[in-house]
Amino acid sequence: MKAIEVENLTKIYKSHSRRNDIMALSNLSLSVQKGQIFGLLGPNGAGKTTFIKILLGITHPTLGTGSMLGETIKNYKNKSRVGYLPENHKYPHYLNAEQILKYFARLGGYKSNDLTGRIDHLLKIVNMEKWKKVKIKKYSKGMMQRLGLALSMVNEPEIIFLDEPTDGVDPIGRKEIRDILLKLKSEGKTIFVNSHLLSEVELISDKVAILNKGKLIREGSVEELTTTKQVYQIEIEETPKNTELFNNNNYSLIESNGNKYTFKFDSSESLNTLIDEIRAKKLNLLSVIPKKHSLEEMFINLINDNEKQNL
Amino acid sequence: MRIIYKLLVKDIVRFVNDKTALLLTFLVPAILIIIFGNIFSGNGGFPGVHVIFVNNSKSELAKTLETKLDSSEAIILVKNITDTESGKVINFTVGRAVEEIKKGKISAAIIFPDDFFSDTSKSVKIKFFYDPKDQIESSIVQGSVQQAIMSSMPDVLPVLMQRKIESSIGYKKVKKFKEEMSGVVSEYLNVPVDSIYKKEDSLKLFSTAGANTNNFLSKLINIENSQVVGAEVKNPGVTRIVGGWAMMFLLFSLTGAATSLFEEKQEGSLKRLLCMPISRGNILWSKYIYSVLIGIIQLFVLFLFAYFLFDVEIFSNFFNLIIVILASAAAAVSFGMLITALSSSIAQANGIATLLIMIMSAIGGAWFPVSILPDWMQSISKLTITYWSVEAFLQVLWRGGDLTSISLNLIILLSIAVIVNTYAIFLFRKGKIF
Repeated sequence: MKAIEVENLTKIYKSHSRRNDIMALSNLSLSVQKGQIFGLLGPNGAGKTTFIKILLGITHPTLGTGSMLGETIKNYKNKSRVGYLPENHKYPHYLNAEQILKYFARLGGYKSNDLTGRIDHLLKIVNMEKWKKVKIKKYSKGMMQRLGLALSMVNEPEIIFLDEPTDGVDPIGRKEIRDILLKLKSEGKTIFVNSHLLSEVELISDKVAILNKGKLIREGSVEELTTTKQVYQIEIEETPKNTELFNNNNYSLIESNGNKYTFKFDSSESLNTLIDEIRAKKLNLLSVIPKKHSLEEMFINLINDNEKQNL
Repeated sequence: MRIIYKLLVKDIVRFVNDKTALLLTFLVPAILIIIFGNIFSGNGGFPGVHVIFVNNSKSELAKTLETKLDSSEAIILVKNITDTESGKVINFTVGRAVEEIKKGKISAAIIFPDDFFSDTSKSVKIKFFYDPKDQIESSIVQGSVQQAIMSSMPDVLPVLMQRKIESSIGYKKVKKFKEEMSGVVSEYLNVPVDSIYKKEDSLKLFSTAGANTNNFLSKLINIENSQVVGAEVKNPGVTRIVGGWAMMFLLFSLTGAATSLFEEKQEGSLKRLLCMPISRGNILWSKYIYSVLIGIIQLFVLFLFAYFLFDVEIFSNFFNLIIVILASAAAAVSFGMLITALSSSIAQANGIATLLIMIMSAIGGAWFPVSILPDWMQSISKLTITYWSVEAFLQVLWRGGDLTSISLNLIILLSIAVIVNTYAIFLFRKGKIF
């Protein structure tokens, strides 16, 4: 079942002259399955925040439609099923964690009588229970982020939008946040993450979409996106004396490091041809591993390629 | 309504926690109303201009004029000075008076010279020395002297006229004319001819010396003063201005309350609210109700100040006063909401608001009566919230008007509130605030 679905979403920020209009999103269509952790990536100005704003009803699309949990995004009442951690969020400094959680829970329509219990539970999850009665003005950035995360969960939402959730959080805190998100996923929650920290996204996301200049340029699982097509690293126990077997029209040697060789193949049949030849030479094949890029490498290459195409 | 109530609580808590805003909202208007109240009430307000006075004349008329100048509220006569050498209090002389003005210690001096008015004088002679550095002070002094002389005209004018006539056509002809005229006037006014003309003292013909109310001039011009409205008002000065000033402060503070939407946007709390299951209408209406409540409290506090400090009677017509406060606050907030909807930043909103509030206060009767404005400006003033509000406050506080007498004002103020606020909320959908 789809938690989020948008079709041909377009957003134009109009200016006094048409020439200065800004196309923030252009014909964007994508979907997020329920129970997934979905990462939205893109350089600054790619349209990520605009996309979240449209889904949350903060701004309206110029064209296109969208739905969340089977309801149109125009239905503001549906937002009681959604949690949100905004980027650079601020709360009234004169309130404490308990007061702010209580206020937004009531405003969000939380109906349980045991709100105090719920707040205590959330503060424990984000490791903030000791700060329950302390005014927000005394919080560090990392603590604010933890509070924001607790706030995004206060109404027991089905979808949680997180805009830069680990921003300002130390490595231990990031690990804790990752664990919280994975736990939420295990409870069937859908999590939509917008982050610049690609290594974080890579660690937790099931599916990733990459935006550039308002357009969707790549979408898929982290595995799909980071795997380099037809490039494999082959490890042989002994270095072959005759390297002629590496010369073939159907594949080529890209790199060698000791007894590890990286090849680029024309097709999967070419990989099998090489394996057959290694065996024919009585060489001991130790491993065949598809070559991967990190998400960050893939992202940079992809954006650069896209920029070149647009020139 | 539950959502609006929650949002309302948010705004109130936010306001109460902003100590500076809280202080400014109530303290600044209170201080200003104390200052202006003192000025307009005349109680320890405008002290009058100090002016040196030297009377070298021995005539009765000079004494009369001096008494009148002494009683003037606009000027304070300084007649003597402590000599720095001898330590004695000495009367001013003309030379010393001029010296003091030249030193810049005082701005003007009035001198009644020896020949101010004698038995043969055909005019009154007064010397006025002044330093033109302060045009307003000089004008006040000259105006006060003229007023004193004009109020003494019944004493002086007939004498001067008689002397002029006698010197032109001769004493005998004048005497004959006066005897014949006295007979006619006596018959016409039905008063004894002796009270008009006595042969042994021709000067009494037109004289009112000694404030003799039986003389014929006082019978010819008998002005009876009677105050029709506001005679029972304890402090007319402050009662007249309190509504206007209150309205100006209200417009400033409530525009500030409405433009706080920009602050909420900047600090991110507006975005947070927009993500909640509440409509934009809820957010805007809660802001409207909050601002109206603040306006009502602010006006009430202001009128309480006026009541305790200046005896402005607010409780004798309290219900109607509250109704006017409510309608004024509702209209003022709608103005603030419209400014916010039309602006793209808080600086822009404050700039536009300040300009419009100043204009509305000036032409709407908050600073001075609309009646002194040119006709075309009086027509424009009816388009302002200030005009209808100030008129309603005056009706309630000055005239003790009932609900019927302020019904038109209330209808107009509430109509402005509904129409302008609805339009503002419509504009918010297209505006930059969201």
